[in-house]
Amino acid sequence: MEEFSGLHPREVVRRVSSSLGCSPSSPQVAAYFDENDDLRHLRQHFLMPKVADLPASDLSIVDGGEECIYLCGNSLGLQPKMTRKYLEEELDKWARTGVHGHTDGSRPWAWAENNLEDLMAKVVGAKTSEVALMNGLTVNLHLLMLSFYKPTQSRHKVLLEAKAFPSDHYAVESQIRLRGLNPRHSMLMLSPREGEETLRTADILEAIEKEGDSIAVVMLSGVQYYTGQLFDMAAITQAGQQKGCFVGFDCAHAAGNVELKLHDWGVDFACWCSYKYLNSGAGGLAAAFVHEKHQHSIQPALLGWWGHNLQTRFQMTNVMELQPGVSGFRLSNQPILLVCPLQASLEVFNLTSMQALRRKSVLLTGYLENLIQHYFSEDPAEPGKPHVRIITPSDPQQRGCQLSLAFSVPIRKVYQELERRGVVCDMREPNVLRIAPTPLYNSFSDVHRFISTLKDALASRDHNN
Amino acid sequence: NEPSFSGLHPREVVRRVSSSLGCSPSSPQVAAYFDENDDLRHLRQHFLMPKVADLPASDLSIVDGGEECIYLCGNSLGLQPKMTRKYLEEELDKWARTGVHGHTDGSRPWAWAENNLEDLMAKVVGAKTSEVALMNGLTVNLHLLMLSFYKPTQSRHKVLLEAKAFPSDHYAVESQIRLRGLNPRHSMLMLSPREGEETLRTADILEAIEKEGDSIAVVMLSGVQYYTGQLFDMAAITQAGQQKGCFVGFDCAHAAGNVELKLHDWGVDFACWCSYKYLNSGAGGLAAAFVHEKHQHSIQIVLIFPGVSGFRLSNQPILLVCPLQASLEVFNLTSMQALRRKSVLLTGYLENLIQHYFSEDPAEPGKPHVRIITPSDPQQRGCQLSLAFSVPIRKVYQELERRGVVCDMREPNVLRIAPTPLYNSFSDVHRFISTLKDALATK
Repeated sequence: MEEFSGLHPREVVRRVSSSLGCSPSSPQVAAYFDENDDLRHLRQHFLMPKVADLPASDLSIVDGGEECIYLCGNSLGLQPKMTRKYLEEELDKWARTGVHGHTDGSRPWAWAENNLEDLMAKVVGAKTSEVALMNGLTVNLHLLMLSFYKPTQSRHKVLLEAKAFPSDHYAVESQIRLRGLNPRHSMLMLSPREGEETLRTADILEAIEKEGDSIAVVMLSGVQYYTGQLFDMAAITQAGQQKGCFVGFDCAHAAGNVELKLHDWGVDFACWCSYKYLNSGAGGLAAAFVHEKHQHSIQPALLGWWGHNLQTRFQMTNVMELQPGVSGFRLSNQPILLVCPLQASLEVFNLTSMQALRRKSVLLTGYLENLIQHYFSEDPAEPGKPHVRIITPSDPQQRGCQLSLAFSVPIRKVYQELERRGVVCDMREPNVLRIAPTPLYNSFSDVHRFISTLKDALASRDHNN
Repeated sequence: NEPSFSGLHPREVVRRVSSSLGCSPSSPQVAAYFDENDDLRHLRQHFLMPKVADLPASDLSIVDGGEECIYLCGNSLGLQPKMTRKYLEEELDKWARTGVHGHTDGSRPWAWAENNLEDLMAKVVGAKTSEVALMNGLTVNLHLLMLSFYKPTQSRHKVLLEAKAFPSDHYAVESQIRLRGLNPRHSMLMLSPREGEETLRTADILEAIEKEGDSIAVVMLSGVQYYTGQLFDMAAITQAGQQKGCFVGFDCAHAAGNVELKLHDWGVDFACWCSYKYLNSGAGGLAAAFVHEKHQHSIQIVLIFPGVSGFRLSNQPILLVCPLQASLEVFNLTSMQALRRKSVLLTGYLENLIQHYFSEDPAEPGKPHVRIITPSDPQQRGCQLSLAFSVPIRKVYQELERRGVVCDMREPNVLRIAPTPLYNSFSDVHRFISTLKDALATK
């Protein structure tokens, strides 16, 4: 696929179909891409549901023995195959040695999560010492904000998206109230322009330029959960810091999806969950990042004994020897049962690189976009025909895996028809589907099958009206 | 555990039983008798007890590897409930077979999996279901609670806690004080035992609250002290603190699943606890928080996040829900009252044997002896006895380990022994004592 690097996915599809002598929408194109996908074997490391096992499958219209079309990795990633084995190892150790499990075996519980920091740091472009695996995302966001958000009389605002993920919105709101400030004055929310759905980078940078002197913290998502927009984190970080703001990102939809370079970009702090593109299971172990430049200057506001130097931690002196950087933010021992699936997942990431995954992803999502536009664009000649508008930016550099599709019809019936046919994706009523072909385990054939199924779903929706 | 023994001090029970059996109180027959009459002995079958051969430090030349070990470490990490594996497999299967649908499908929909558990947990701590939340880790929960309950003013700014609180609690309180721009030196009020004593006298705690209460914002003690094993009079402390206008909260890490708690009835303002000790949910297991219902409209939850307020769906890790469910189901086969009744006798029996064999003997000044730090009043302790040895503990501990004992060492000279009513037997205690004798005798 290297010969296609640098070309827009649309152009790649055109060239391939041309050389194959078929239509760009032919399954042959998908087959060709799959044959030449260096990462296709990674799918074998995950457990893909069968159609028959999905709750809403209608086996009268679809073959239950087939693998489903799982395009929901942005919501919950698939289970890595090694998860069960690793969990069993820890259950065995617990059963056989009780408390000794803290210090024995391949995953001593007292520092098991430390052994994964290395692999996680690679995924987000950080140094190992800048990453901590702990808690849940929102808890970590709070811990980081308590240290980075230090409002003054003049510099008191937090900048975020108007439609930030609810948890982030509430978290920032409460952080502001905790300081005795009013969210109405201190929560600066960025909205898209009238008639647009995504934020223009220029507008974000302009807002920072204009208001930056009164902004204490810029806290955006890395990839927007609803629109799928990938923000220009490097530019935003630079712009914010130039105005004296701290800049942090909620990377829930970015980690494991796009190439992150948290360290090189100089991002001040970040947090993310691991159950989406990092495949660690519902409620999996979350993570936090604090740039090493802060390791001696930014102090954690809330302490617990896990922030204490490991060498002397168990001496129970009650005199804190704080570890530098993000390590000082740790409060307690992390659950070994959550370390196991995350280890299984990160080991698969370690078989490749974010760069290679991203390269496949750009093509994979571009291929999806191509087919959506081919089949479901608005057609003036057929005004009654359902059509789809892609909300997500068309520039591959401004998006990750996910495309958010706005339908011209209510989505619920479409979604149900898709489910009957073995598709797993995400619905946002009244009219949006989020489709996230994931480079780790999705194929181009998955995308082609999805498109065929969507055609059927829309058609049967019509018939059943 | 026959009714005729209720109300009697364990020492007296042991005396009567050995007398009726016609043997010495230190005879294994006494242990056998207690086990035969233990209504809860079958609960042990619900847990996985390690075998001696599987322990890392066992010396199979001096001990039978096929025997069950002597596990008296439930105060540090509880044993694995047998149903844990099955429940985890159910969730792994569901994840593998249905992916994201697991949030809403199956017997444990991930989006609200802990709902059924909050009910069972509330029973264990004497709370209403609506007062309990399962989430995070203990220290995170302590911080969240302190952010809401610790609202210092000019005059009322202190936090009262034990001088030797668990390190995490100490650091947590210290940092909460600093976060308010205050100085721990002035705002951290620490209670020390009297000179020459190791535990806190209830009267001294109450007196401190009476004297300093007007300047205390929050009283935050442990329910059971981790080092000494002392069980605090939570009801009296709560009342005294609140009478002085303080909020009163407890770190129940060593109390939950150990002693009978009545957080609601005692009017405790807030509490938090971990679940990997007496609640057997595995290392780093799901923790809990309690907020009394009287505060439900008045105390503002300061940091909003899923699971506390405002969100119908929570995001608790399903893999942590499984072992906790397995454990709480075992608690639900009995009651804290029944467990406590056994525990008082079990620990009293341990104490009896310790005193019998290892008391200081003026006639033999060179003989190693043991002083029990933990209060002798059963109402002022839980399962655990903290034993202070007259010799360095490391060698003793190693000899115990060689012989299949699992317990906790606190250098330079303390062992913590916690016979747990859920899965320990009186024979476990007797075996421990025999093994301790051997360990001390080994040069």
